Amino acid sequence: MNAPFAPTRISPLFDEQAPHAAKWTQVETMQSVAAYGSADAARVPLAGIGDLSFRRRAGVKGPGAAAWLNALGIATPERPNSYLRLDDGTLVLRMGNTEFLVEDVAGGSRAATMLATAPSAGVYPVPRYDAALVITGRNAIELTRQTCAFDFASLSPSAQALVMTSMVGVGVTAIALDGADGTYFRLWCDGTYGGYLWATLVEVAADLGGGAVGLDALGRVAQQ
Amino acid sequence: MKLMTCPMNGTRPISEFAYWGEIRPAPDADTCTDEQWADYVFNRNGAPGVKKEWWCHTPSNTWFIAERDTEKDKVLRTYLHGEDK
Repeated sequence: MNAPFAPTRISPLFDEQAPHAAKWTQVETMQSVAAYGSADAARVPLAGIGDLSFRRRAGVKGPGAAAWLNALGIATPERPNSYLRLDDGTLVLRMGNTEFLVEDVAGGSRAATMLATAPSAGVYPVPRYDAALVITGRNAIELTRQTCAFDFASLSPSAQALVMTSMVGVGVTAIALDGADGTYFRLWCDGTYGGYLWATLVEVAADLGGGAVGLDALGRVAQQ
Repeated sequence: MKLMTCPMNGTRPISEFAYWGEIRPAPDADTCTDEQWADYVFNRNGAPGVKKEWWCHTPSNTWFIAERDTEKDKVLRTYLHGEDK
């Protein structure tokens, strides 16, 4: 592997990824794996496990959270357990009745705006230290069947449903998104469990022709 | 597979839930006797029957109430606190 940078942010998956990484990059000041090897591109259409932890995110909860976000120009989903993808690619996740997670795309500033704005009455910031994963490929459903009791086939991108469930024993938030190459899944979990979740999913994905993929091979999925 | 229905997240395997015991209103610590307080702290009702219990859907940390027949281990209904109608 090439020499690591001196990053100001480190992915929660770093310790698991470092022995396998072939090429590093720095996105949003987080050292991230650009490539694991020449097999990355072939893994993406089968069962690719990518790390999007570099994306900036912020959370709020409380009875005033939706109105506070709206005042910042961030639209919120109307239904509990659903999400919105804004025009600039920002994901707004509504988890339960009054809790929200906002995740920027690379270069976005909505999370920074939230963190810099004083919460009003009934708004409580939720620190986020998530490991953020993406599962791509036509075998992604099979991978979820082996690792989770929830049926991911029921997660339709058009319904914009969000599910909080348990995957290999780790509590995860999951959504399905439409990409240029088909549906893919996003997962968020507590960062301290991220390494275990990532390593386990990569091991299962390897049986399905996939495995870990770097940001270079993810291409637009990483940028959307 | 045993299933439980979370009022927010729907029906899921029981492995996604944690059981936190029967709802037991505490006696007023300022006015109750020592015996009443000791009974509240140390004793639990083990008699089978329909009980209201605290459950938590752990991936979402959703706390809710389940009315469960502990004799038949059958969940009669579940709802969020304050939504008992």
